[in-house]
Amino acid sequence: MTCMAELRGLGEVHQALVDQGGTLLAVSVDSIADNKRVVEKNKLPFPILSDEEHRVISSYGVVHKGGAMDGSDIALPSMFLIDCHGNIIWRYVAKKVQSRLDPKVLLKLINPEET
Amino acid sequence: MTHTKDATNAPSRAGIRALVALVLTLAGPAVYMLLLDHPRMRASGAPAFGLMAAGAVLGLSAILYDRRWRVRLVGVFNVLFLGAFFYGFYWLMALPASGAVAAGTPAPDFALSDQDGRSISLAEYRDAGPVLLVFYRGHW
Repeated sequence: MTCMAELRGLGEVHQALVDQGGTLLAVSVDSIADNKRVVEKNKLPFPILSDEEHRVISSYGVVHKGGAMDGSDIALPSMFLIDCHGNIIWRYVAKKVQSRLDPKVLLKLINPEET
Repeated sequence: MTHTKDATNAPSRAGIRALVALVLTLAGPAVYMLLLDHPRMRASGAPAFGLMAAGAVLGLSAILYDRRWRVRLVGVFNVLFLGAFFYGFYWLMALPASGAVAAGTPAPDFALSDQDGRSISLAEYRDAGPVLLVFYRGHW
């Protein structure tokens, strides 16, 4: 429930990326079926990818060991902005469960000229 | 507000003060839940801490005027509640340091299934424009 709040706020950010030919990709360790429910319920304009085997959270170094309520590993809340050469040009890793970036910060990052 | 001790059974002004303090304290977490969609409110918890701090101060001040156990209990409860929220907010919710890949390095490629079972790879998107990868904790 609570973790959906951050995804709902990212629609505008996704649009800004699409305007530049890019996209927003959300990733969690949930199943495809769970992600489908979340996308539909929150009417998300971007996809959620299912990293059930934890390969991608491992390769990006954002595994939160034992972070789930049931003690299993989940993703650390984090963001990576990747340019068209495939390089990470900016990243953010949350320090607290409840810390979230203001989408305005992201919009400014994506469109430095505007605002 | 006087220090004179009059009849003790009627709700004193201090008793009402303690009640208001309790309401403020309990409103803190409720308001926090309501404001979850606001990133800054969510990250700082400012409105919740403000309400609970007001509740704690008001509750303690009520004890100065009315030393009945009910008033004392409320006063102590408010402070403990604020303390517990503070502890949870800053310690229980702290995340471990990460070894996240740094800015300036190549983004590891991947292919994962989206919510419809389609395979999506970073490579197919990143050539066209910027990609923002958002890792989140899950749907619970």
